[in-house]
Amino acid sequence: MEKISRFCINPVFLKELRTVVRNRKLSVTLMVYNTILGLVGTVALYVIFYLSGSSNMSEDVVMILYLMLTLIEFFLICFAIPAYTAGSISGEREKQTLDILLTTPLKPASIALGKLMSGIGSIVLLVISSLPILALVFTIGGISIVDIALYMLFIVITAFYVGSFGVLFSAKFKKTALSTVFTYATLIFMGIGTCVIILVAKLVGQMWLENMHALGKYTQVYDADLGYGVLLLMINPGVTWASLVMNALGSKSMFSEIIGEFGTIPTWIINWWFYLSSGVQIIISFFVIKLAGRRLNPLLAKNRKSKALKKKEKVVRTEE
Amino acid sequence: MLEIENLNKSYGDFKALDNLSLSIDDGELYGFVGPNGAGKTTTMKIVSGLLAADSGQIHIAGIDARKDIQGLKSSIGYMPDFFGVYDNLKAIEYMEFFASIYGIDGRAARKLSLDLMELVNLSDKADSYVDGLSRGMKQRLCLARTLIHNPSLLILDEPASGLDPRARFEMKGILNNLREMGKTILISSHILPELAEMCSSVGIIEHGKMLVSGTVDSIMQKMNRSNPIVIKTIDRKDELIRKLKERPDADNISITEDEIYVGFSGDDEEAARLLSDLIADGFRITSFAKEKGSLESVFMQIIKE
Ligand SMILES: Nc1ncnc2c1ncn2[C@@H]1O[C@H](COP(=O)(O)OP(=O)(O)O)[C@@H](O)[C@H]1O
Ligand SMILES: [Mg+2]
Repeated sequence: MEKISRFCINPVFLKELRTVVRNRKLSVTLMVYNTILGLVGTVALYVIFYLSGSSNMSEDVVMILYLMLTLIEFFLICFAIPAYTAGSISGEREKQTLDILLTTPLKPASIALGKLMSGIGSIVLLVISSLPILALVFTIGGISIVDIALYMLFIVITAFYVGSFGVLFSAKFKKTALSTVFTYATLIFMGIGTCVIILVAKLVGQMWLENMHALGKYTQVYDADLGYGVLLLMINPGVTWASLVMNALGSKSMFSEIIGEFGTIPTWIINWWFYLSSGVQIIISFFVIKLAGRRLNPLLAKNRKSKALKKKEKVVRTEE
Repeated sequence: MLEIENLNKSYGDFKALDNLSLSIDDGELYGFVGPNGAGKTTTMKIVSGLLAADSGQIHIAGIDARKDIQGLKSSIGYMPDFFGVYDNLKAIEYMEFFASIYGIDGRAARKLSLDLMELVNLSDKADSYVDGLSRGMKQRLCLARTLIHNPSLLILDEPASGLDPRARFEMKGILNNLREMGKTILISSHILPELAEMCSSVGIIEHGKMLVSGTVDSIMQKMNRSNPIVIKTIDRKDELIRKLKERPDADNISITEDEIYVGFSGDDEEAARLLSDLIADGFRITSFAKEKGSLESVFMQIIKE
């Protein structure tokens, strides 16, 4: 246990946290962000009270507000995290501090994790700082504190998940620009690509079934069902968001219907989608961090290269 | 302390290290000298475990550095050729950060950090931000950082480069102190005079090859051999030159206003015989000496060859 906590709350993270907190940029960002959010919240509250008369507010308006605010914050995280993490290791490389860290007993994966935590730290701080405002707005309507807490958890996990790829690419590529591009590409694949794959698979399956019917092989047109194939969506944080929000809004059945449209899976998976997909994403993140650590280990990385060289030499020799 | 045997390293087709060997005894201050691009940084990175060699052996205090990475990390302190600064961090925090990496926290970390900063004359800068320190101070802070885990071998890549003479002088003093504390130090430079006075041994590297390596004295002796003998005489200079030219062990004779330079291939014994021969021939010689070489002239001579 102590080993794990030392791995997670490691010196790199603590050091970075200190420097991040000192940065004046952060306090300005925090202020601006919360001012805007506060204004939006106040206006929204006013509108809600004004529209519905103080006694009986429309829960629908709160729902829409909740949907919008969480979506905005979700997008903010998705777009900001690559920018915050994709330069984390390359920056350390440029400053020549990476070499120093690598001569210490610090595990390369620990360095990668520290970098990730500090990369997402300021963003998560931003979101958490907005918690009181969100709570104020939502507790009036049908949203419970638990929902908001889960939402915060979701934001942290998403930041961790997306950020881990940023750190991996930052360890892999020397140029920050390149790693940023790759991180966004990964994000787009996770967010949109997985949906496209599911859609295309469904369409192709449907076409095939209709074809079979036309050929007289099947007596009726069956609905294409991807079955457990829809579990691919577990890696999509957007779907995680949807499962969370629909749950909070009391429209669980809608989420289950949409998923069911593409593939039939046991209901308990649907019911626990938020937790399961979060778990999957956390596991993937740790795996990605391990990979980033491998990339950072100078001896391992070069070993691989020299093996490739040896292979090349062998080819040359056999050609002779 | 450090034994490197037949180290080879290529970057693609470029051979950066070519069968490089060197050996450093306990407590030595070893100067690793060579022009830019000779392969000094490459060697030091390999020794520090930051780069994999293609082949070769490295032993540090008896342990196989290529197998026991943790053992290697605990016995060396590495300082790269560029000093990296973290923004928004105070000097003392920089030290404490590295202390915490080694599992030293709290009061112990603070005490150790302050002690080490005192060792490198930075006590008064503990609460200054690192990015505001001068280059020499950053360099010394970085040196203090390498000492946190009390390593026995320090690997310092061009610690004096870019320093003004005063800072360089200060750095020298600190290195001498460290040596007195029993540290073994491997230090590189592309400028020999930086190291000449303080090193006990030097290795001269070019194009990834070790040209000479050994104690300063032994290198000087070896090289002095090929230094010319300088002869001064009161008169009969031309006759003396003719006489010298007849001898098989003397060549390359050149003359300045009052001195004759003779390239002499014999050893000291034969040089003594030459002198007595000349005196027997009645030459009135006022001075007869081997030109004293400096480590620098040796360096230039080796690089030229
Ligand atoms: N990562 C690298 N890829 C390709 N060539 C390199 C790399 N690092 C160093 N070199 C080359 O290897 C040679 C030795 O470099 P280096 O060890 O840094 O020399 P020094 O420290 O003595 O100036 C140089 O010619 C340099 O250009
Ligand atoms: Mg160098």
